[in-house]
Amino acid sequence: MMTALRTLLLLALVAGCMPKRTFGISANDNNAEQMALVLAKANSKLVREPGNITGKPMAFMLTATKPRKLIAWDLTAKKAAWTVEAEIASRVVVGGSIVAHAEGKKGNLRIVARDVRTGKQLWSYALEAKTEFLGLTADSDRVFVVVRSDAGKRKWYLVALRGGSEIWRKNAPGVLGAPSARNGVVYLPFMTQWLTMLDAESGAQIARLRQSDEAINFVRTNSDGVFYGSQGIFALDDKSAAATKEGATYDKVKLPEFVRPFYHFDSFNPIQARYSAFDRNRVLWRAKIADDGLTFQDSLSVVFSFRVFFAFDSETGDLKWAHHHPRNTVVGAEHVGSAILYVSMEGEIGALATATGAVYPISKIGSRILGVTFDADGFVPTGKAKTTSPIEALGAVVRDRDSQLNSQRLFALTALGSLKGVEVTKTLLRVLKDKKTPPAIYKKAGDVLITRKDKDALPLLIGALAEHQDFIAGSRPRAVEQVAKALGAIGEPQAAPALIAHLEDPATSLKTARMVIDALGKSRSQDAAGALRTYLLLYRVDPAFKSNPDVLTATIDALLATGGAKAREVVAYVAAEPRTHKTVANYAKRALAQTKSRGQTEKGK
Amino acid sequence: MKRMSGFATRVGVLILMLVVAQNAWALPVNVPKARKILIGTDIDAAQKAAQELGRLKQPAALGALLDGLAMGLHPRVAKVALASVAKHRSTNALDVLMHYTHHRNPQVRAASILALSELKHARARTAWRLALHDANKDVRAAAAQAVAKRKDKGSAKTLIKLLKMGDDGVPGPLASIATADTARRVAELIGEVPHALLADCVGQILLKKKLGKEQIYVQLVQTLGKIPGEASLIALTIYLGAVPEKPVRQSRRLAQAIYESRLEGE
Repeated sequence: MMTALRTLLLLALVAGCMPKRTFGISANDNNAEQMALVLAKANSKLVREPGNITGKPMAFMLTATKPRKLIAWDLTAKKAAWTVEAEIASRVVVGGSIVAHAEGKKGNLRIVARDVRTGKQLWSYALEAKTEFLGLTADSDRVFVVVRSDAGKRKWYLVALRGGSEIWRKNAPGVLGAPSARNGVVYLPFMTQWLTMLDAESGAQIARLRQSDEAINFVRTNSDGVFYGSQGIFALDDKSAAATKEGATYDKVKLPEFVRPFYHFDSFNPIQARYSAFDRNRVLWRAKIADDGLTFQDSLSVVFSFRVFFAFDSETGDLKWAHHHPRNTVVGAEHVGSAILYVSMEGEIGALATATGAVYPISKIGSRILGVTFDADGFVPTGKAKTTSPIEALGAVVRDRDSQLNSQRLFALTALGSLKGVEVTKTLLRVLKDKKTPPAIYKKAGDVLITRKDKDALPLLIGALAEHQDFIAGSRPRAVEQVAKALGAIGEPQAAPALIAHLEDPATSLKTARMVIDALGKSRSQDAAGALRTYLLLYRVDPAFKSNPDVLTATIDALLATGGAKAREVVAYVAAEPRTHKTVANYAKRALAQTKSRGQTEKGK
Repeated sequence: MKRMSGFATRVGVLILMLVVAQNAWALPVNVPKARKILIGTDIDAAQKAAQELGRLKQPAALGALLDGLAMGLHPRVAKVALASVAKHRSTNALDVLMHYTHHRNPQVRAASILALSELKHARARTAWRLALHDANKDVRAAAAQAVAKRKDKGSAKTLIKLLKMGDDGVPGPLASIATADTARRVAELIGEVPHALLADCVGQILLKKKLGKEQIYVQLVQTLGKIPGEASLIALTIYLGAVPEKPVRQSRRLAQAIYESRLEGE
């Protein structure tokens, strides 16, 4: 009671100094008292529950097939509450009693509001000609639309609608961003520098922030509060008036380099006012204001790209879990606090446990979907969640052939490399053996395989060399170089027979032969020494090697590395024999001298 | 006159010396000398030495060839050396020959396969069977020749696969090992093998005398009748020429009828 009275008193006091003009270049910015008014409204009802008056967790989905339909899906009942035909041209927004969206074609758009319970059209409002629709939001039974008018002098305006009529309109001299509204306050980024906060009923400006060290290109309202920013996230609180990253409640999540931090839809990008590829590449997060600043729920941020979800520790950037939705692209996903909900292009509704990435059973809608808006805060999916092992999840990402996911695949390969188990090697070999693997992924998989030095996977690696070129079968071995390097890094004699078979295979290219030779040199095998001796003797006079002496010089190095008098004897013969290619003979002489002096030094020590 | 006669004698001796020098390799040579030349820097001379060592029947000659191959020879020399090793028909050469089936130079590989075909040994058979899968056409052709030489009927299926892939070194060898069953299979390959190649193969199988029942010959002639182009007509002509008119054979009558109708058609 006392709090309410204090708020009323404060409102009365501040009313006198309320800015008269909305969206002016000069105004009373960063006013802590005005900010207190906003916060009183904004924080009045922060409960994790759906915003619509039915109280049911809903997903509003736009179908991809024509005629387009809007499906209101009851997530608890797992069935459609209603379906209507609608040529939707924007995101769908949800107020208390209404859902709203733009409808029609460019230049002939209208805003339509529907009954959230039935989908029945309640009213529509035609946008003026020569205007561009920039975004909309809803709060209670009101809809707020930002439009750019190109009739005469270009201007931007925000219009508040109820029952199909304007309740107020505010013009702006500069670029207005798409709005967000909740608990009777409308929030608008203005010229990327300001965050304007208006009373939803009257349109009067309550407060305005002028951010000095970071652009504001998004504002997001949900049951955790109000958040805004661009490169990072500001929480709207009593420190916001400081208007600096240091003074305000501000944080970023730590993400790997391949992730473009996309915390929320860009208010200034008209494309993002409707469902687009931006819906398929986002950072999903929920945050709360704590005593020590902004805290991310479960200390996680979830990077979502098409059908891959990576959850990272918000502070360290360490990967916590991964999920790969099989086959179909996910068109939209949302962190609803209690779960991560998503919808695929083929109409599958999935849910992931936020802390573990465990997958709940999937529901199928039966329609292809273009975009989705969730109103499902606090929704807890039912059924037994299935946990996938990190190797399995990352392996699925790595094996996904979609070229849009190459960065994610590269990251998954790195992450896989840090995990133990022969399953990792199995996955890496599968990628390397796949003819369709793009060069960058192939290279990365090879690098990871080599650096792992996984002795337990020796039989797998040796098995990977079993394939040879066969004209009749049409087979060609793949990844011999990478596997040879990996075997060389392990340096075990068991690998020698498989390597020798490739050294002796005439189909092995000289480039690959060189890797095989290096690996044989490291294998500490007598068989390897024998094969290397024969190889050197046979090809030292072959004109095909005159232009590729490095294969033979590598053979000399490998042979001397295997040790033994026989090896030195053969190298000495090759060095002295007049038919040997000069480069090879000279190299053999030098190698003998160097290894001899090295041997003597070691002996002396 | 005396002086002239003396001059002529001197010239005659000189010419004789030149001729002898030019045909030095036509004269008997000793193995140590040939061995030395084989591993010398003169490639042409080494080739000749390799050839000569194949002609010499003593074990030391084979030893010289095997030593040379083991220590490394120029591919041109190695090719001749392998052919010479083949002439010795010794299983002592098996290891070296097997090794050369992996040589990077396809001509050398082919020579080693042909040399192995001189040996009755399971390892040699394994080698030419593997060589049928070689990426190089010449090596496959050499392997097919080895199959024919050793009547390796177990390679028939592989040869049929190669025929389907258009290997023109296959018809002769396949025909040489063809049984009634092989003949039937080949007869059913219309549409799967290039016309000329199939006609060549069917024609060669048709010339085999102990293929089995007359019905198989008829089926082969029918196949030739279905293959368009000149190659099948040539095969029919050869068959008609090879088989006497009497005793009367159904396959010959059919071949005659097809041949005539083809000519009329033209």
